Amino acid sequence: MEWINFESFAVTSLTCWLAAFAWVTLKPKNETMRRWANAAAIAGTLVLAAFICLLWLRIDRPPMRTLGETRLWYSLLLPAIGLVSFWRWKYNWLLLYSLFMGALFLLINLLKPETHDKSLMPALQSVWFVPHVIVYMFAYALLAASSLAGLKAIYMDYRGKNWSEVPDLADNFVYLGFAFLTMGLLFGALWAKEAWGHYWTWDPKETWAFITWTAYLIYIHYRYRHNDKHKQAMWILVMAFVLLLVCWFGVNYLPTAQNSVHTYSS
Amino acid sequence: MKRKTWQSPWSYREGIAITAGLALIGFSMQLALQGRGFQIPPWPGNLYLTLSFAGILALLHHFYRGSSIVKWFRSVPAAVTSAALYCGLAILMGVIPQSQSSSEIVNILGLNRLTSSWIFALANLYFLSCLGLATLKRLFPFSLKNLGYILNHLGLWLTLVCASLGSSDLQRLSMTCYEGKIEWRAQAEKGQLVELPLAIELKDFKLEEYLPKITLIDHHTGKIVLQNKKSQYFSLADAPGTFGDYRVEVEKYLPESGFIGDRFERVNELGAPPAAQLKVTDNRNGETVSGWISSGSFLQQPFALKVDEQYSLVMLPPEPKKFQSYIRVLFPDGEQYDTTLEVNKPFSIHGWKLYQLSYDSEKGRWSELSVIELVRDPWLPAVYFGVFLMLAGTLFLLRDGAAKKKGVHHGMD
Repeated sequence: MEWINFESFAVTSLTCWLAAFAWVTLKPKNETMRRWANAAAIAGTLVLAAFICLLWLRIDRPPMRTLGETRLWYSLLLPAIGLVSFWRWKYNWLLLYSLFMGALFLLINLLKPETHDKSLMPALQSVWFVPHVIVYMFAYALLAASSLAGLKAIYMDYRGKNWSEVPDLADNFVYLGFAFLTMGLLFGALWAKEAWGHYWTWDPKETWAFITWTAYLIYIHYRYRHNDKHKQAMWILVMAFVLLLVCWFGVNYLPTAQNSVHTYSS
Repeated sequence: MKRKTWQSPWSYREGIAITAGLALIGFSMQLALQGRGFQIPPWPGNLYLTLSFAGILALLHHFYRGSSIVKWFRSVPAAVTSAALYCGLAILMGVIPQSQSSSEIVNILGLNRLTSSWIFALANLYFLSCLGLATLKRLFPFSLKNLGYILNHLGLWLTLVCASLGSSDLQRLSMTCYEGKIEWRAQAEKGQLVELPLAIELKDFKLEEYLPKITLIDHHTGKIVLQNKKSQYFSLADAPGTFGDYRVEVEKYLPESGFIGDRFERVNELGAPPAAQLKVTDNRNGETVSGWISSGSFLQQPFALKVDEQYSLVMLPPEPKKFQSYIRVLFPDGEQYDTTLEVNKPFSIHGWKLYQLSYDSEKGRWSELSVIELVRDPWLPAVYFGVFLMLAGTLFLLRDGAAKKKGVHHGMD
């Protein structure tokens, strides 16, 4: 049996998303176009979902082991979140940004192909594996959406436009994202107890997960009290996302990473 | 009128000053004690410490809840600055390797052992005081509308207090067991030998492997050829299939083999590696090569298959899929239990948790020893109680996040 052709799935998804992007950008007010954009975005997302399902079946293990595999989930979940907010809050720009981010991560996987082999080290063979990773990817996607809102607010402020609605939207994403982030962290701790003997060992990945968690904790508390000081809050949001990215990808490049037990790809 | 620093009500300036003060005190303590960090007393000292800390917070809440200091401790600026101190220290920990450092400053300030440094202890004290007092305010008097708040805050407080103060009672020992032998001594983290109130007999150690992978190397440079990164390795589980420019078929596969004369035969002995007879077709010119390949083992040489003038196929040592120890746990009074340990499947007995840790990796599936980890953590139920409160609390966060518009912004003092 040959490998599933990732390239054709990815290119199909990217084309659909690009079409949706173009329709929303060119004719934002036209209702028919909106519907077409919606359909294209859904189609692209479903194609990617189909690929992930096939890959899962093909490699006989959850495709969540390597960084590239986690990027696939992110590319799936972020456009999905963009779509849901598009229906719920009618935010065109958010759909655009999330499609763009999803496409970007998919493109990275296209340019940096990796082997999806079947082997799964014993430490990952656990009932916790899927919930831990899925919940984390959900959190990352929601928090990315919140940071996009933050960046949008900062940009609108720079251009002297009214952005008073944006922080409330960011809060929605942060609350949802933080709930999932907390679940991911705690599921990870419960799993670590079963797999490694202790629920928290300050492994570099754990340390950075904790840093990310406290950063969003700071944002939530800051916003709670200072509902008027939006601008500082938006900057906290952007910085928190930088820390999140360090936790996700950057850790592997830090001097502390040599003794991490959280590296699953060569 | 502009408020002066330290004039009530305090805000961020004071919070930052307190944070800086704590950092200064922490580093001074570290210097004064020449790098000796903060030691948490073992049981029952840590229990007394926990109870006194909770007691002091409760007394402060009960008698001084209206005082400006107590009010400040449960304020948002205090929460933000104490969380920022935590976050900052964690960033240091995430950047500086937590092991013996070549820099004397790092060693003395305890930056390479941050969790046992004075500054970390003070940061904990500050954060947990703020968190504790804020929790008490919502807990007494109790109101159902504060449930989400209480679950999240009380859960975090319990988790952090019990995890940090209980850490001095945590025992993690590793025991090297040999097949057919009984062992009752284990090594503590610093290497000292500990005699245990239980013994383990390793009846059998078993290791299952994935089918081996093959890869293409340039036999002039000895390096792996990156045809393209997607197919750097080819698992025999995927045969027949295409690997780069080659079509690979397995004509014969022997999980345990020995080299006899000019071929491999199935043998049943220690250190017999897997071998495969492959048929390799070059898709570019249709040329076919057939021959043996083997990963070798700690006793046997590996065997490569030359596919053309430049390249050879080699087999990588198979990766472990699953390893298990069949053990009997024995107690002095004659109690005994038979069980199987596996990664992710520990066994609990009389307050101990037994884990499959490792084995003789050089010998792989012929390992005659198994390393078992024994963990005792009497504070675990309290920590888990906090964790479950927080997990329940996340549901309230989901509810708030899904609300279309966040409604009233509660006043928080």
